[in-house]
Amino acid sequence: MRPSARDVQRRLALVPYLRSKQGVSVDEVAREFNVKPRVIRKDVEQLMMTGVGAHGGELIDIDLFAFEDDDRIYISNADFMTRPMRINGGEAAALIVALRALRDAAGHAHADVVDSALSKLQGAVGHQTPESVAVVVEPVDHDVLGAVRRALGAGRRLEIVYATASRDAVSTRQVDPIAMFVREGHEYLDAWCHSAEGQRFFRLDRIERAEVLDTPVESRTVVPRRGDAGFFSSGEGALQVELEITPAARWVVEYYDAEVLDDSGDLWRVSLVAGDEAWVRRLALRAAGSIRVLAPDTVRSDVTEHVRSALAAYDGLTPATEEF
Amino acid sequence: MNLIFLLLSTRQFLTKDQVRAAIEDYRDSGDEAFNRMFERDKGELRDLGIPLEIGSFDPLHEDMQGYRIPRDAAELPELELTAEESAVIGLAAQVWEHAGLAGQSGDALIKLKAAGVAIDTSAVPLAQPRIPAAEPAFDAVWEAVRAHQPIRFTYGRTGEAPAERHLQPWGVLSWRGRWYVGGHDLDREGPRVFRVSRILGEVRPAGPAGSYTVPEGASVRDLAASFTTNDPVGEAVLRVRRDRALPLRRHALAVRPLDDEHDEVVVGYRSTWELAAAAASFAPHVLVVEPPEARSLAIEVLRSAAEANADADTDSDEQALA
Repeated sequence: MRPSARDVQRRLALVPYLRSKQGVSVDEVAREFNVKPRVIRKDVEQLMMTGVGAHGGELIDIDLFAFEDDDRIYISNADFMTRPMRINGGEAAALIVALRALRDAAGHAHADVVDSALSKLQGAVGHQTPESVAVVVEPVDHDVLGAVRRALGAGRRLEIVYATASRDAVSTRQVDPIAMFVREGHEYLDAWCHSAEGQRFFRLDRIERAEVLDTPVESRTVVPRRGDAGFFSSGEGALQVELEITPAARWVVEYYDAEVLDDSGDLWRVSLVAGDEAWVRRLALRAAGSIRVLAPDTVRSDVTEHVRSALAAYDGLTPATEEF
Repeated sequence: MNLIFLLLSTRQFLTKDQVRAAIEDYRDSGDEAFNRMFERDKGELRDLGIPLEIGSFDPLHEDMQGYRIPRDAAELPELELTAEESAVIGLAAQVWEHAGLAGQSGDALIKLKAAGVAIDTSAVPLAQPRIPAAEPAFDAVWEAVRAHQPIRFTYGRTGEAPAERHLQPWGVLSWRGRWYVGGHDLDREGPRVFRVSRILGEVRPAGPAGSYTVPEGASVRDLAASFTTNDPVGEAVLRVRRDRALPLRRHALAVRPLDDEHDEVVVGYRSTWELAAAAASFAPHVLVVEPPEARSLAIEVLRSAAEANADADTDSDEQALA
């Protein structure tokens, strides 16, 4: 079977890498190249066979005893390839766009480092910078970001004042930070929450204040999560909701990844997973009548109840414009 | 790979015959098979981004064309990176949540490692953005943007009939986890932005690659800015219950206590409609005091929400709204 382009790329990079790291173990190479050890073993076997001359395989020599007995790689006769190939246009575009996103997420603290890395990389690849790609990451309070980073770096507990959007409530919690990541343009902290006694996600822009405590984080077996699966539900609970929406609210389908149950008429019936009841209530309240909550029933009566109190409160307000 | 190694191992131009003689697979094949393999392997070089030079060292036999890989253009130049710089590059290589682009940034990283760059991502504690690109049409759009290739595709807005669109793509933008492609819309004859997830089915070429130029100053970064910033049109006065409506309070221009339970919160707003909807969503904890048009709109939004969510078999809600 012909090797894939990825295989060829990796093998081409392997030659100068192995030259500069004589006697390196197969496992270490596999780690560095982010593949399984057996892939590296196959690569080495292929490199031995590759070559030119009357019998083929006359270029690269591998110390077979070290390779087969000790899983270590010594390479010789590979002087024709001392440097890796240039980073090509596609690779450069992918990496540079990623670096720019990293820079935007980094804020002021590490922007200089990212900038110098970017300029050196752009100099080395010699490709046009892809101005045609932009990734927007929403900015975060630098004091909060700084505290979270310090706590992560030093392995310290954090005290945060956190605003849970769906419940519109603020709480002070102590958390052991695990990792940070960005999802859908927002930065999150994954942490062990001592109040909730569980692993929770915290959106950085909802952290009002953050203070690094002297307490070191407790050692605990936690798996850093990227929020790939069940992200929404694991953070704030999950609630199956059914809505009836007018054409004005059809954006809900895509925006919240809702499932359309019935679109035979003007009024569509859709279903989606929400954080909690308060979130659904707020969605219905702001939708100006374009969303009717079908299930759960309690949310629907909740909506009318909240409107009743609000209208009563408006009645109690002296219209500001009539005071003068 | 044999061809790459052979051409790298010589500084001279090798004629096609010399190439054939040196590589076993070529040597053992018939003329036609050899030509096919040679063309295929040259194509592979191109795909890998490795330059191939055709020329001759022999001025007397200019027709004796040979091949070589120019080392300077082919090899990664020396680059000195600090531990922090290489750490951020290592982190960047983990940013894509897209198999192809994650692979490409990973390949770039491997080349740097092969050039002796040690990468320890723990040297810089940075938030790692994740750039997802799950939209089926993303790959085709990304390639078209890079190649300056006009495209056509079927575009469907929710609740609208799908229509075929023709676009000279200028750039792509990721905003709140979604990809958009902006460019010159050939049907509407003006700049337009499309959401990539709304492209239905295949993206097809609508002209040769490189057949247009992106106008000077057309930047997706500006496009991005127009998505995210929108100057306020005025200031609104809200009556807000203490410790409630935190997202609104965060953008407050002023907060004054009114009584034991309420604050007066002044915020800038971008549209009356947006302000009214935001206030309604926090009902009953947020009331719009000023401006009057936003106040009456907020009341209207609330009334409509109650009507839409009233239970058909009771009339108590209707009484409340009367």
